[in-house]
Amino acid sequence: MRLSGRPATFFLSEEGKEFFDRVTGTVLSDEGEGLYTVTSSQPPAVVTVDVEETDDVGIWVQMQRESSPRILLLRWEFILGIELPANPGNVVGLRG
Amino acid sequence: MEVFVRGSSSSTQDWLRAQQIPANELPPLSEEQKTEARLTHRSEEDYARSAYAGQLSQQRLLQATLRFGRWLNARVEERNSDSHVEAIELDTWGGKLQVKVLTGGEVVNFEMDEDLVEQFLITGSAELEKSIFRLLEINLPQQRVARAS
Repeated sequence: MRLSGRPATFFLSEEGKEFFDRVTGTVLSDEGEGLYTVTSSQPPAVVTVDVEETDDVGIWVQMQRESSPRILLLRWEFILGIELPANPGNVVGLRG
Repeated sequence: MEVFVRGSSSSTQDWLRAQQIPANELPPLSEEQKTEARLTHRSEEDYARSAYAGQLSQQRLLQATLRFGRWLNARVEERNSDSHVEAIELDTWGGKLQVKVLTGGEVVNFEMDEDLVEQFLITGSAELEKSIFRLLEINLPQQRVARAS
């Protein structure tokens, strides 16, 4: 299963949430407000972002920071779990 | 030949393009997509940008898969004049290309690794081409494969 190039929902450890808060400079609310929304102020915090790629160190995610596109590394040790839609997505096609 | 792409796997370029267009130019979300945005705790605009990046990616992958399908079909026809690629589908979730070949009225389905094909399209590597030829030898019925003398 590939995470690269698709959105995924991450359940973050306490350290992961603190790290994400610090990097994004966003106070993550539990009301669905803000670009990066965490559903609980207590761990595990939940955030959905687009994945650039994965490697042995962690997951590289794409994000906007003050309207500037950035790439952020979420280390594996900050991640408690990952949720993805079971449906792989729609199908497009052509005859060529 | 029919060509399909299931799902998407957006590149950084697709994602950047989707981030840069004005919010009012993003494709509107369906009710199903709005529900998905809510379930994943994303704002509708954030979800719409991600979905738009996915659409850009699907079109790019569709064209790449078509180019590879045409190349593969030419190789299949060179080996056996009564064979051709009927359909090719890129499954971005599984990282596989599913190939359907018609050979002498018989249907043969087999898979190729997406990474193999992607690297072949980028590099044109003779080694990777050899791997693809090997897959043809393995998967197409041997009696129907014309062997090079």
